[in-house]
Amino acid sequence: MERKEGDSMNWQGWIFMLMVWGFVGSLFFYSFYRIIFDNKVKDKKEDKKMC
Amino acid sequence: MQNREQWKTKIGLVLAMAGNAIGLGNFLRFPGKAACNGGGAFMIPYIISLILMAIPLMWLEWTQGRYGGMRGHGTTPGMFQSMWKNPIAKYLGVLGLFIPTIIVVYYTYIGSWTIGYGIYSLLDQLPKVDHSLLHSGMTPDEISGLVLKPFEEFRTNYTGKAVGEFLQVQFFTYIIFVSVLLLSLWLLARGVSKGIETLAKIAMPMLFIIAIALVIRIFTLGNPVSGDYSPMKGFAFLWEPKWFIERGGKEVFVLLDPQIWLEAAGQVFFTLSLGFGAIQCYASYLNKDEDVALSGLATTSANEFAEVIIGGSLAIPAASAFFGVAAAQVIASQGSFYLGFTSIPAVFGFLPAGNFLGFLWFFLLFLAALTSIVAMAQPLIAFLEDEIGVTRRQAVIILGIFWFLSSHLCVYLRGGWQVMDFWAGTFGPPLLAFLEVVLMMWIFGGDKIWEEMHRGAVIRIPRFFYYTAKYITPLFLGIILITWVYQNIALPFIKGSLSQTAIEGVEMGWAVWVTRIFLMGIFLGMCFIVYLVWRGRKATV
Repeated sequence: MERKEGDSMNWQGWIFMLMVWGFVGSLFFYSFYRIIFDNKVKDKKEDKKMC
Repeated sequence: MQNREQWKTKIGLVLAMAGNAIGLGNFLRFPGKAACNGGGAFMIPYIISLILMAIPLMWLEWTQGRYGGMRGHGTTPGMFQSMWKNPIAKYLGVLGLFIPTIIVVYYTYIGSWTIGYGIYSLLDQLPKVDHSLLHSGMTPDEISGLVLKPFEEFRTNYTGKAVGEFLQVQFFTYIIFVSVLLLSLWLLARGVSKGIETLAKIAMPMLFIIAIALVIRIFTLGNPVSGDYSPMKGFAFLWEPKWFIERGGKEVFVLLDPQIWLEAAGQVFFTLSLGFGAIQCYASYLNKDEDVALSGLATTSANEFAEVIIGGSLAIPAASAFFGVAAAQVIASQGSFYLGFTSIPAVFGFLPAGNFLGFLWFFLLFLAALTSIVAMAQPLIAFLEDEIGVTRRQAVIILGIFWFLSSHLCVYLRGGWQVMDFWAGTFGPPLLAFLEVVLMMWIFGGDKIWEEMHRGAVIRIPRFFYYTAKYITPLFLGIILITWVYQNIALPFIKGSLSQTAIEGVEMGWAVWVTRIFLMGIFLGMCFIVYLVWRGRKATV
């Protein structure tokens, strides 16, 4: 099928979407990165195990 | 105080919490609500509600859970009592036991439809509609009548045809429901770490992989019907910000429309499982110095990732590609189940390997439902273990008997699950959340709870959220609660329309009263058990 003009989103939509996705995405990747890879977070658990 | 179980790993705990929050609401309710409220217009109050209400409340619930768990309480009656010495506190906390216990009763039944549909899809037993019937310019009525009708009839047959006050349910529906119930009980019987945590570690990554695969498939559909229809148009409908929305023929500024605020805040609430009592229960299995700040943030962000990024890229764009944005909006406004169980199977039915894609869609919903089911069941088990002193095995047996018997109200009575959802799933959570935030920020003390929140924390929460939690969140919740009660309970009374349609939105009949009496009985029964437990404790002391 032929693709028509106006199929895509307007620039306000892109900006709004990128802002929200950026906010949610950065919180998501930041928090999971810290939980999985951050030694400070891991050490706290290991310290407790030692105790 | 007996030794309580603990989470084995931090990632397991966070995934279990995310599994608790991510449910059918992310993939069905969210697109439905957004479509009914102008797409881009809905997203503005949604994001504001998330920041001002949901994020602070999530941290408060995690903190309350850990605080209660340290004192041997896994549920809100004990947690409320340990934060406020007034005897009434434990009875207010009963709400946090009542809400998840009732939700698990009907949510298991609804959740079982997803795997039942998944099996039908895999076996190629879902209805078939000829792709050539579709053409651009079809009205929503034409789409409903020509394309979606067989799917709607299939859904009515699957979920039960009304015969008087009863529902005639297929044997397959019942067997699948019992199987899901038994699977949930088995997972719960294995315990917090071996059962719930293991499930989360397997189900959550799988859920995200399946969801991303489906999003990719939907966005590579192109223009399957005509150049006027595309998934991108549905996506644009959701993300192009609109500052005005039509209400009763008038253009209303979005930020001044109470209806859109109510819908957006309600969705944020529902999707994060706030005010259910389940987050506190999971957090009660934390060690006393374990972080709640980063974990609470991870739970919120995982849920929002699944909702606004993935959930917003599935149902509406898929429906827009085949039916157009205008019709997709009408379809979504007919309810989450119409969207998820009627229109999406039709969409996948038009595609090559549609059976498999349909199966993936329902399996995704099943994983989301299962992780929420075990989370909602856990508070009653924790209450029986912590407050009454039975073993986990005994607690699971007691819960299983109650769960199995009371589910029959949802399976066989017309309006059964809708009545339960109205009181426990819609009215209960904002009420409990309002009580929680007032209790923690005003009675227990904002500074004390702030200090408690930061014990063992690996991130520092901005002070902005302290003031938000103290002033804005309770005000926000209070307004939501009052407006909701006025619109859904007071207004139907004033209009006198209750003889035909019950306030729960179903046709009035004795089945509605049976379910209401059941709910009342459970709530009073729980209050009485709490009374006996605390009286017994006093006598021992």
